[in-house]
Amino acid sequence: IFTRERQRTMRSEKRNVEVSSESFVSMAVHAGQNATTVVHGILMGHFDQKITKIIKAIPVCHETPTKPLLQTALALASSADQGMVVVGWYIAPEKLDDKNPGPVPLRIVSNITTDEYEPVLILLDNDALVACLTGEAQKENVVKGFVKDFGQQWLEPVTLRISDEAKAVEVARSAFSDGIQVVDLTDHFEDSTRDWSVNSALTTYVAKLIN
Amino acid sequence: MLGPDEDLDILIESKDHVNILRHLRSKKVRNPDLTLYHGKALLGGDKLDKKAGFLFGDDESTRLAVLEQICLSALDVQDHTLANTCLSQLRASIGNESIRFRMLLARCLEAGGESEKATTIYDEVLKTHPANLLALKRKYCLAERTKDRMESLNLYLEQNASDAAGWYEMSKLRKDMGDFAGAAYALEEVVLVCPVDAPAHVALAEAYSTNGDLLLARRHMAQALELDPNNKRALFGLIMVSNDYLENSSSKSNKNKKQQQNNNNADNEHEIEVAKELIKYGANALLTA
Repeated sequence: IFTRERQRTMRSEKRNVEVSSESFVSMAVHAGQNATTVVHGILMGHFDQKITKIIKAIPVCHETPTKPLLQTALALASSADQGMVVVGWYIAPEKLDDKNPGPVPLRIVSNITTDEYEPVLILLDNDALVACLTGEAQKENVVKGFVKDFGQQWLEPVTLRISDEAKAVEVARSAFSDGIQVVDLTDHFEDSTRDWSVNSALTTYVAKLIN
Repeated sequence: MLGPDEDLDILIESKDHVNILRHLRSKKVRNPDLTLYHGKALLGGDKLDKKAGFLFGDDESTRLAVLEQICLSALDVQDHTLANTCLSQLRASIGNESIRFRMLLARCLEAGGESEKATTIYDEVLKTHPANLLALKRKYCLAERTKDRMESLNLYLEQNASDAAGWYEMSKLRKDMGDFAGAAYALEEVVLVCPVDAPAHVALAEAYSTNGDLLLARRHMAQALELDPNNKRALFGLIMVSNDYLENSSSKSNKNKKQQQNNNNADNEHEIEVAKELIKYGANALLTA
């Protein structure tokens, strides 16, 4: 239980963000396989001392999400538990040269803020993503993290580290070229036999290559 | 004698190039590989220089239609050389001034990345033919900024208000901007044109819900389930929307305890009971699905 003062301090503390290899691969492949639309997803993990650890990325949709879809996705993701909480939201914009998250993900991430911690907004840079998935040299980072700024918008850049980044990039490239499918919630709604929150095909593939 | 209304497989088996291409044109089938194979076979290979003969029955318009069809298919497979050959053959027959030729030229310019030149042609066509729907559509596709896309799409929908796909595209644009009220308006038009399309009702319900109109959202989710009882997205949506309605009602009733004498209270209680039953219905349907 935290006092209001302590809550304000915790929310305002500058936190670093650590992205697991598996979540990086999931985000990259989800964005890559839906190249002509925006993609959105939930980030699950833990809030540690001064680090927000993103352990899993759960793909939600490849369209602009609405409130019922968001509520359904958050409820299902949270109920899966596995000892994780919602730590943020990711988006890959529709257009190649779009470097801004846009009004919808900013609204989403402000709505998933809790009393104790602020979530992180991850934006995928499409130019860097193309370079990553096609094997070209990357000039920029594929994923960029944002937290709340003084204007109460999630536009303040945050230090972000990907676990075993070189390996994660290689696995993302290989998963994309091998056609490993990432199933999001809207795909699951169209065909309920396709598993969504676990995405076992990708999980197995990543575990095999990273380990 | 075989005609274009014959089954495509029969036409392909009989290698009737003219009727295969007519069939693809009339049914608006987009199969560039098939079109190019039969088009080249009909018109003498890559040069496409075979002209009138018994195959056409001296019908020059058929040859021109086939050239246009091959050109569009060539653009689909990024064969710009073949597309240019088609344009040359067409230009030799009908010159540069035909509207249809200029529209095709603009499509080739688009495919070659020369969007500004293509836009110039579309603007010229719209000056003389302001109701040319293809030009209006292409202008929308070429627009980059959201404001320009909105303007182009509005112009198109003014001319073609019954185009469900156009209204659906408008709803997507509005959603991207975070304008869910505008998205709901556009989706209402989609539902007007396609009243028995369950996904349209789900999309409209979700837009209403995001905009705060929970009763309307609930009605359209229920309508979607009438049309497609196994629609999972509608089942989850119905539960979420009904749950939101219950939460909103309980927070309002806590605030308005002094106003419980109000005549609307009976209606509210009825709606609350309906919401509870809909949640049970949705949950049961999901569990048994």
